[in-house]
Amino acid sequence: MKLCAIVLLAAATHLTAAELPKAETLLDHYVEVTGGRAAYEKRTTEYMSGSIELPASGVKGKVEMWGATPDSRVEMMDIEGVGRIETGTDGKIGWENSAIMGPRLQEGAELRFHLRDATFNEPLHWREMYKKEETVGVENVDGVPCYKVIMTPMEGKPETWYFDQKTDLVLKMLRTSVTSMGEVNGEYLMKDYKDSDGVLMPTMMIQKAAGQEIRVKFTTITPNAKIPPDRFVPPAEVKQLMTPAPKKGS
Amino acid sequence: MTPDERQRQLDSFDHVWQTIHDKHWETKPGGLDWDRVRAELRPKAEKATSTAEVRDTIREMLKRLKQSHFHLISAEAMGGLNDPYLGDGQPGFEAEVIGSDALVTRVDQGVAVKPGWKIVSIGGVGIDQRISAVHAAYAQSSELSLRLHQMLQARLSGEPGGTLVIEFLDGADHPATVKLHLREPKGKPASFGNLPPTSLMIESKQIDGEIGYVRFNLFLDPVRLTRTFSDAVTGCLKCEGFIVDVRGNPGGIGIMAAGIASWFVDESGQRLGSMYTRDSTLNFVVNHRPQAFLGPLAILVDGASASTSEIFAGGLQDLHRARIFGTRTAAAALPSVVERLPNGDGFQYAVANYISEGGRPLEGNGVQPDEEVQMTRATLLAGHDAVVDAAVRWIRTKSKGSAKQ
Repeated sequence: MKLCAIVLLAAATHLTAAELPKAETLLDHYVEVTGGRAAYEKRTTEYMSGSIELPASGVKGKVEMWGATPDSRVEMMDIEGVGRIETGTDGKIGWENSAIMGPRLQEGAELRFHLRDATFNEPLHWREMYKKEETVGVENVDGVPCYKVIMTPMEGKPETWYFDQKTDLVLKMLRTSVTSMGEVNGEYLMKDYKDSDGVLMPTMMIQKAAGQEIRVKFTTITPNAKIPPDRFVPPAEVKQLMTPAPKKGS
Repeated sequence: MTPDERQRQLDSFDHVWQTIHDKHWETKPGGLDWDRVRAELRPKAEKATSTAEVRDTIREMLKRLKQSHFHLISAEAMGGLNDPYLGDGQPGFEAEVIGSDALVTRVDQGVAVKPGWKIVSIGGVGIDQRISAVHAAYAQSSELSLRLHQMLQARLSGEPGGTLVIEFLDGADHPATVKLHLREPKGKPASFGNLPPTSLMIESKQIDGEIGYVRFNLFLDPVRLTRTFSDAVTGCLKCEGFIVDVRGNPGGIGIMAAGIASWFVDESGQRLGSMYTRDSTLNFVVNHRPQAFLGPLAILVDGASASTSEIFAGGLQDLHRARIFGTRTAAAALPSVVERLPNGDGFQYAVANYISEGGRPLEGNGVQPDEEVQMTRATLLAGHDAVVDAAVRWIRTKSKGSAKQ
C-alpha cells in the first residue's frame, strides 16, 4: 500500500467531541457497509493478484497474495530488474526472501507487526487488535469529508483512520510500519472498493512512504480459493536459518 | 541587466530557495530559519546590478547551509561540460583521469593499446582541454574526480560498430594514433525503472587460486549479481581473502549495498548506516547469509565509486569488516539532482542525508581508504594494477599472521 499525493485539507468544521460519532460505531459500521460479519466469516481463504508500480521511478511488477484464517499470509512481488521478493507468515514465524537481501527470519517488534498485519478478515477483529480508539475530528481526503479516528494498537504507534462521512468506508490510513530497515511512516489511500462475494474491498492502494509512492492494484480476488497445503510453509532457504547453528566448540 | 534578465535572475534565486525549503531532509535546512534567510538575502538579490552579483547572493545562501552537494554552476561552465554519452559502444579499453592525465588502465584482448598509454585526443578533441574545463567547473566540488571520470567515459563512447580515432603517447612517449572499432558493451543488459538501459559487467575470478575477486560496474540486476557472489563466495570459503572491486562503480539500487555485504558478515542485524529523509529513517541492515566468507576482505574504490558503492565500502569500513584500498570515493552518496535554473545556471542539491554506521556523513566527504593507493603511469606500463597489488599484499600478510598463530 502507499500514500498518494493527497492534499489533506482541514475541513471547516465546528463539531465538538460530543457531536462526533463514536469510533466504535464507525468501526462496526465499516463491517456492516462492507458486507457484514456473516459475509466475512464465510471467507476462510483468499487469493489476490495484480500489479505494483512506483510511478516516479518507472518500476513495475506483479503481486500475488495468499491468505488464510486466522493469520497466515504470503505475498510475492516480482519486480522488473529486481526479481522476486517474498514475505510470509504461518501465524507463528515471519520471513522474507529476496535476491537482494537473501533469506531472513523476522524477530521482535517486526515479527509482531507482521503477525498483526496478516490477520485474516481484519475488520472483524479490531477489538482484539486495538486497545483504544477515538474520533477526534473531521478532515477532507481528496475533497471528501471524513471522520478522523485515532486507533491505538495493543503494540506499536497510534494509527489514524479516515472514514468517509457518507459511506463509512475507510479512505485513508496513517500508520507506522515496522520493517527490517526500521519504522517507516506511511500514508495509505484505499480506492476502488469492489464487491468480492459479498464483501466490499479496496482494490487499489496507494502508499507514500520514505519519499516513494507505490501503487498496488488487485485485478483478481478469489475468496475461498484452494490453496496448496505448503503455501504457508517457508521456503527452503528460510528453513535453513531455522536450524540452530552448532554451538562453538562442540 | 535588462528587466527580463533581472527577472530571470530573481526567479533563479527564488527557485533555489524554494527547492531547499520543500525538499531538504531537515525542516530547518542546516538548522537555519529558512524564511529569515530569504528575508535577508532576497532584497540583496533585488538590488544586484549584475548576473555575477545575483550568483554571489545565491552562493551565499547555499554557503549558509554548510552542507556539501549544494552548488551553483554557472551557465558558462554548464555549457562547457557538454559531454553527452553517444552510445553504448566501447573502445576495447578502460581509462581514467589520474592526476592530470587520461591513462589507459585495462585493455581487452586483441586491442592495439597498452595500459599506461596516455590519451592525447579523442576524435580530434584534445583531452587536456576537457580535463581543464571540468577542473574549472568543479574545482571547489567534492565531486571533481567523479565528473572527470564521467567526462572521459562520455568522450570514449559511441554507437557500437562506429569508429573512434584516438591519439596516444605510448610507453616511450611516442605519438600513436589508433583507429578503434567500437565494440558491443561488455556484460549483459540490465534495467531498472526509468534508468536508461545499461550493461552490467561482472568479473569473477580467483587470484592464484587463493584470493576471491569480484568486480562489477553497477549495483543492478540483483538476481545475477547474487548468483555471482553466491558462486564466488561458496567456491572460496577457504580462500586467504576476498577482494570486491567497485572502482568506477557509480551505484544503483541502494539497498543492494546491504545485500552484497551480507556475504561477508557473521551475524545479522548490523547496519551499514542510515538514510534520513524528511519523514523517515531507513537503516541499511545486513543479514547474515548461511554461507558467508569471513576471512580478510578488501574493497577497492576510486573517485568514481559513488552512491551505493560508498554506502557499501563506508559501512563495512565502519563495521571494521573490510580494509579499503584506492583513492577517496566520489562523496556523492545521496540522490542529488542538477537542475537548470531560469537564468541558465545549474543548481545541484541533495534530497536526503546518509550517515554511515560510524557516524560520518558520506555526502561531501566520501570514503577515505585505509590504504591510499593510486595507479600511476609507471605501474600501469609495468603491467600492474597497484591497487589490486596492495590488497593482495595485505591479504597475504594477514594470512601469514594467522598461520603463525
